[in-house]
Amino acid sequence: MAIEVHGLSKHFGSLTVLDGVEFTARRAELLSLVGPNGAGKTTLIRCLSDGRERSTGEVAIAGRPIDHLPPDRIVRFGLGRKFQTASVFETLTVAECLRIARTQHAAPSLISTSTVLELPAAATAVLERSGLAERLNEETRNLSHGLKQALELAMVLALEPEVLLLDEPTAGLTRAERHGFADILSALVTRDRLCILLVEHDLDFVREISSRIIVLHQGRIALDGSVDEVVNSALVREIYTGQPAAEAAP
Amino acid sequence: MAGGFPARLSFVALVLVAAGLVVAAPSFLDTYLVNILIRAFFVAMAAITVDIMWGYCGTLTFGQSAFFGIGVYALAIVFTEYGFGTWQAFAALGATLAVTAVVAALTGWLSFYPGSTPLYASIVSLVVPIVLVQILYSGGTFTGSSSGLVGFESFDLDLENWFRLAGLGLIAVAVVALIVMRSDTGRLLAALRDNDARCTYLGIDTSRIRIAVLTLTALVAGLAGFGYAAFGAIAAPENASFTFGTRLIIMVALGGRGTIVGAIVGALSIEVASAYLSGSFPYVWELIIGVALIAVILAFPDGLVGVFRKLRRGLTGFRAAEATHLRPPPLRSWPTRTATWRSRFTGLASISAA
Repeated sequence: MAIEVHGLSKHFGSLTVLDGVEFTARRAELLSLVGPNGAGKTTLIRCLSDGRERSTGEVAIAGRPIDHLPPDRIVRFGLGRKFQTASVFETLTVAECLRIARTQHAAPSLISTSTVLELPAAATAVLERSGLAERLNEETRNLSHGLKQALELAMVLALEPEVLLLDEPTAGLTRAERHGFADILSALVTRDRLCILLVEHDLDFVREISSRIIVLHQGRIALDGSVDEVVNSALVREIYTGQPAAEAAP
Repeated sequence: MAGGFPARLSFVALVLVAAGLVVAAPSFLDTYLVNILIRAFFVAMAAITVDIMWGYCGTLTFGQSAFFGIGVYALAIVFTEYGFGTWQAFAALGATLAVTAVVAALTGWLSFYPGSTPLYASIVSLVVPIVLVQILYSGGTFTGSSSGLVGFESFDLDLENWFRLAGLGLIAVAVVALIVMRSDTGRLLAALRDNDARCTYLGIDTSRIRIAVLTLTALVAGLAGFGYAAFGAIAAPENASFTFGTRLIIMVALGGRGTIVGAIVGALSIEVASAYLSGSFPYVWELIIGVALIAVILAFPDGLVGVFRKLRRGLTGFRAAEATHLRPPPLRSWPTRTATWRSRFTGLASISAA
């Protein structure tokens, strides 16, 4: 199993944000996490990628329990996490950002700057598709929001992860960029057999690319099923349209 | 080093010119200025370590003075207790390195435990020199308490050679710092400064790197203090105080942080100006430094070196040197590597399917 979660709960004082969350995800599976604001989606992502975050429960990434390990150790199990906002290194160039992402694979030189950048095919593909491959020597602070998002994805893919956590990766992107993103994600799942957990608000986007959907509602898993099951369910209609389930149900 | 062959050549030429100046200067400078500059060279080494911690790694640190002070007192205490001699000199040097390394590693562990904030690290760095000075005050005759240690015998070198030794030492520290800061490792430190969380989620143990950098810079600051005391044959609690730590920050801010050269410019100009002006304006002088600092930070946030760079850019029209000199890194799609990567994936997939 790529992701295994058992009895995961998270409390902030008396407030329970996640309550008994339980699911698994395999490789070559794109699992979307949907739910209204405040449902605990981002908190769940944080609990999967930082062992010190959850209050109770067990999490395993790529078959290894994350215990109470800090993120940098879990990343070495094969986890990649893309943040909600584009998170890159503003004063560095595109190539330098990617080199930092490869620190685990190629220790940085103390005396020189390397001119060769070795990247896995998945990261190279993102660079080429987005046009970043021609802008390797530009400082990232001058890049558009969409390109920063693409760069961060390429950096995460440069880690050669097995499990990819994406928190609203398409927020603020244009329609064309969104489309390109969907293609890239599909290829990562089918060709590279990554397990992707995607947090997304846009139900159309989710419907287009997911192999399975989990609905998180008030900190609990309300639904876990195929795209059709979830999208046509009364609960999702209630959450997304505001109509009570009783009226929407046939 | 970043940049191509011409950049490297001009760097080597600059270093040689600086070294030549240092060797020749004592013959035509007056004794007073030579005296001031020798101290200033050692202070500048400590300022470089502040620049690395603050300008490159992004941690505002008041604590480098503590490590400088440890060097000063290691030498003073050993020479006072056991007299001057070869083994005593090595013992003092060993004590400097050992104590600074231990104190720095401990400080680093307190400052950069996973989840700590930059502000927290700065406050720890403020506490360390304060605690150290209290220890020095309460050390009785062993540390000389508030009057420090004087009258011990130290290395017998004439003034001119002290100048050359300190000057070449400073150049060596600066060259090593510049080379490392412009290397891929330097970029990694800048990445820590820009976005620590992103580094952590790229599998980089940021705490460990920060502790390592603090320990290495502390060793350099400790050695600078060792040299300072060896030349002056005097140890005072002020050498370890957070006031001196703050002064180092002012030097770096004035010269331009994140530049190494700025730290040297700031340290030498403040040390020399202080020596000449503090006598004439004993109390007003501190005020002048304070006002100058505020003026520089408001008008030239990149310091004196930043002003110089802007002027040069305006005249020659060339932007950041790194961008012009950096060769486009050829992107290699890597067939062998990709193949192993794939097979690793399928291998794992078959295991999990089994």
